[in-house]
Amino acid sequence: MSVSILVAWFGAILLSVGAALFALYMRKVIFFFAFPIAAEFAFLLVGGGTLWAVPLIGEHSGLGTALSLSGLVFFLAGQILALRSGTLSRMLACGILAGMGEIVAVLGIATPTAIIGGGMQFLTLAMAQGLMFLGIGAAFFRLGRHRIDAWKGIGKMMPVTGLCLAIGALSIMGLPPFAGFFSKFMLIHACVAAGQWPIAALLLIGSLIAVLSYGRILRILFFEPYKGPAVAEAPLPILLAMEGLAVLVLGLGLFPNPIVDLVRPITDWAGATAGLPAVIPALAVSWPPSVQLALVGGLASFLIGRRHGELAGWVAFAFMLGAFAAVLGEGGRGDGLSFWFALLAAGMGALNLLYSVGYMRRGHAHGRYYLMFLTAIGGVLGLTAADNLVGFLLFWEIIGGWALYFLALHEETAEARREGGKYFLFSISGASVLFLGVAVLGSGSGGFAFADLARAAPDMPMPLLASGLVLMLAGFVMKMALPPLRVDYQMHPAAMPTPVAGFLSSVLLKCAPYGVLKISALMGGALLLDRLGGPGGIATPMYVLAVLAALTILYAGAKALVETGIKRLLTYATVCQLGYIMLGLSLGSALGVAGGLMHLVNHMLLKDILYLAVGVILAQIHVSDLDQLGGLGRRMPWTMGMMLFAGLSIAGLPPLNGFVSKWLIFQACLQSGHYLLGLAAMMGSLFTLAAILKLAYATFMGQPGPGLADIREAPASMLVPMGLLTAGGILVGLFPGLVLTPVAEIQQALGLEVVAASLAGPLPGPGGWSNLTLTVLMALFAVPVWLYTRLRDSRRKSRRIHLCGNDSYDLRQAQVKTGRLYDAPSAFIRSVLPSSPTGQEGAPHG
Amino acid sequence: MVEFLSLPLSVLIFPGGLFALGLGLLIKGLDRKVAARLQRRVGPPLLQPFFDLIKLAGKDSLIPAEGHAGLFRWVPLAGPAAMALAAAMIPIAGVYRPSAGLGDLLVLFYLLAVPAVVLMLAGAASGSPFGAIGFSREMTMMIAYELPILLVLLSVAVAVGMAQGGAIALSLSDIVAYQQVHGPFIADPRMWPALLCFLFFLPATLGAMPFDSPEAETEILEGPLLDYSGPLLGVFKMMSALKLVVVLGLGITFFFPNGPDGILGLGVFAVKCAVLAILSVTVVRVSTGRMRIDQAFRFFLKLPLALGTTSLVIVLSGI
Repeated sequence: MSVSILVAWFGAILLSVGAALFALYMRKVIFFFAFPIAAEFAFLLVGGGTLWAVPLIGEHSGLGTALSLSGLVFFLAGQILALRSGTLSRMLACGILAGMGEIVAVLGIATPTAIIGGGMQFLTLAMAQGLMFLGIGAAFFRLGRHRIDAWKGIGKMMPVTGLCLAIGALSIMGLPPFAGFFSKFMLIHACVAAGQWPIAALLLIGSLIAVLSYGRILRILFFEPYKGPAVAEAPLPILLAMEGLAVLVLGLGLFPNPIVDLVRPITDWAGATAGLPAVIPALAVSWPPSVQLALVGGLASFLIGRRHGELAGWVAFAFMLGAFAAVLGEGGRGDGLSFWFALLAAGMGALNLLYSVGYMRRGHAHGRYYLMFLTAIGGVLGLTAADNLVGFLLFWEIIGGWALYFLALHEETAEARREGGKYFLFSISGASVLFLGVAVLGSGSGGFAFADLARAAPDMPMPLLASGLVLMLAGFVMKMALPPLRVDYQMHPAAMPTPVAGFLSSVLLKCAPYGVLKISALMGGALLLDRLGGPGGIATPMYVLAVLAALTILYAGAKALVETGIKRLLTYATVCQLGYIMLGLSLGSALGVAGGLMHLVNHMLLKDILYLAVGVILAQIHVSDLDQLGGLGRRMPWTMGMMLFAGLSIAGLPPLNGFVSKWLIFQACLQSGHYLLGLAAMMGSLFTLAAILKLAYATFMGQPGPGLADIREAPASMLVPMGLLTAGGILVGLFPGLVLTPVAEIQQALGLEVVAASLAGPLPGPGGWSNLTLTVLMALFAVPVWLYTRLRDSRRKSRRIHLCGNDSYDLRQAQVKTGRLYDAPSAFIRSVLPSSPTGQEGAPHG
Repeated sequence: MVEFLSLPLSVLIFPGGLFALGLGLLIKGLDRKVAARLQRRVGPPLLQPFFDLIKLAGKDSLIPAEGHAGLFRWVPLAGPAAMALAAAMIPIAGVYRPSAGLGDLLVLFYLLAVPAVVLMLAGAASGSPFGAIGFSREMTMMIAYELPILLVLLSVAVAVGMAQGGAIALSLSDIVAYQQVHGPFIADPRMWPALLCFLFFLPATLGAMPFDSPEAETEILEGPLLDYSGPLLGVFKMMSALKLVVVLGLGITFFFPNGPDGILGLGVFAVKCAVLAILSVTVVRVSTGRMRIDQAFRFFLKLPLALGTTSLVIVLSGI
């Protein structure tokens, strides 16, 4: 082994120990530190030394199992203890214990990949934990206290320290784009490749516990109000050390190969000793220009946002337009599905950013908001550009990870913190399931590139193929929060700023159907069907998905009907529509996939309009319940008009565009003989209609609620995005071919059945009709009817409504409460469905 | 060219538009006359609904000050437009075959939801508490009768579809053609639960007793329509007449479309509409009282739902 490697390893050990010792000069903690650290290093030396002393490599022996088991015990114990610690330093000490346990657990597997994984994890953990120790030390140096709860909001007072602590924490949690992600990936890959699935699963569970602990730290550091004395930033030497480590952690997260190269000689040596080749998967992630533009834009607006909030918004919007152009430019590369999805995501992102400029006028922390938003959008763009499973997973974790967590916490209220925490946990859980699926498929294909997967899929042994597929599908389904893998509305935190919630609903949640389509197409599409077998001509997992989707439609629709919270109603409506999309896609037929994809596009446009319309009100006044609104229709006619259009369209009223895509899905279900699924889909339309009309009534009609006197129509920067989306919706409604023609191309590229669609022709399927014709004909008859109303040039007079002579009646008192609007159906639904945990679904008022 | 001309004509004149409007108003007049006779009254002249429309055209339209004027004035126009289009989709055996470009059974079904939505939005737009209550009740009724009628629709379509070797036949012309060969479904005992369920659906969707809670005159002063007057009220009357023809035509298409060709066939169709209307709407409305909205909702969850489910089960099991 070369001297440089030895030096690097010992240097890393010394760095962590040194950082720990520095932190030790706080009084009293020395006992909490020294003992665990000493124990871990001893353990590591014993474990590692044993490995080298005994020729174990390549065999899974009893000693290896014992090592793994004891490692796992320390790992899980460390994580749980960390969760329960009250002091930050104690938590980190337990974290070191857990980290070492994790490494030893994997080393016990004794394959070359395991050694690489262990080595990488050691290095990244050392860096990240060193970072955190330095940060804690600095803060402690300034603050003089060490209970976690006493450090609320310190991240705002000492921003650089806070940032470095955050980077360290995120790396330890194994989140991209930090170094910890790749080392975790290598560890999981090592376990799965050697067939040790239980170890991989336990490692993922342990890291979820870590997410809880470190997530809590991040929450406390940045999203609580700061009540302490004004303190300066960390002292310069510590600051420099921290910044250096932070840059290293981030840089290695973007370009992980240096770490691999550092550890490789050991692996090669071990492999040579045992006669086994070391197969290291390529950790290549592509960062196309569109993603780079998004991320750079995020950084730019973060820096500008500290002083000029609105300018930061315009800068963000400009960079997003650039990313959109970049996506257009990248058109030739990649398949049609990814291209169109990226284009739509970039477009929606740009519109929501434009809207944010107006929305955030009364907001705070502009820089942080735009940074996180652009990171999330960049994540979607990167997801579509990925050409291997590693990149796919990386961007998936970015999408559902810390960027959205910070956005969920943006408002910094107690409710936001609670909901954001639950969302983060659930999101990472889903990503962990996906992680396992990716590892399984990767090990089955002998590589992680999509090309490898496509090549290996036809011959992969069934248990491997099926379990990998099921895991990935489960991960996707968890993102979409379909029941039963749903944790009620916690998947879509209501406290998020509205433009983000709109983007989440319209684009981010669509990544799941995109993922399902992409993976099933990669794994052979029609061939997969033949191998897996199932009822009614669709593969069994897909049929299960279809049934789940139908149940979701009914459940979410019913919940939306009884719900009175503004954002929660929209959330349930979103979940309901996602059910439609999944139903269409999982049917797999030409009509079904076309319907699902078209509904995906329609829903993107329409749901965003709904969120933005609601956001116009929420930007001006903070309300959460529909009963607090009312009578705003006359003051914001444009908003109301667009919202009615979007709402009625998404409920599936002809001749609007939402009906067209729903018709395709109904046809797909019924024509293939799945009558009950079709029935569920059709009933869901009605529930959505009821929910939308309730929303429209409570918001815009009736009498103005208390405190709404100052609400005005939206400014141009908010009306323009809504208007563009509405125009898009109308256009798609009149010319469905605009969407269906690219859909047909995508179907062809993915090897699925192609639907017959032309730009101006009738809809595909038996009995295809033309929406343009219908709309024109309806308008045609409306003209004479309108003429009838102007026949005798009768005058229009304004007059009070008829109140049976009781003219002093307080109309506000007579307003039907939103919870009582659908009394009989609500009672029925509540008797059938379990109520939500907070019990806030419009229970009858007194 | 003929195609381009014939579609607008079918929506504006025959069988949509003027024809359906005339037939609908005539049947409404007949309904009022027969109801009066059953109640031992003389009743208004047969053509009274026509006179009403003409009269309303000359009155002033009063726009409520508390409401939303724009929605109030423009939303009603969508109702008759949708119903005229729907009327153009109903086949008349031997006389008229709707163009495939207009849409199939599903499109017709969802077009039927438009008048209900128009009524609801109108009720909400007027700013009147009666309107809001009407809105709430209309939605409740829709939820109540939607599932049974979907089951009836599926039963008929699947029966025809399975007989033709496919999974489902959603084209109305196909359903009519099948019954012209195999005999009307009204003579087929398998379809009687579906027929019975449809007979419950008719008064519910048309807002007739005992299911007329949304527009209850005595309780909520006609709900959404209270503050409408003049030509705008006339628009609602048109919508109601057109919807009557569409729903009756749907029933005839499902269960007894057979008839002779030519003008005689047209007359037979009109007579069938009248008979169906009198039996299922007029007779029922003079002999029952109004059901409370929650009673009506629960009712539809019991008998009609059971009938619809039975009918679908019978069809699917291929008896």
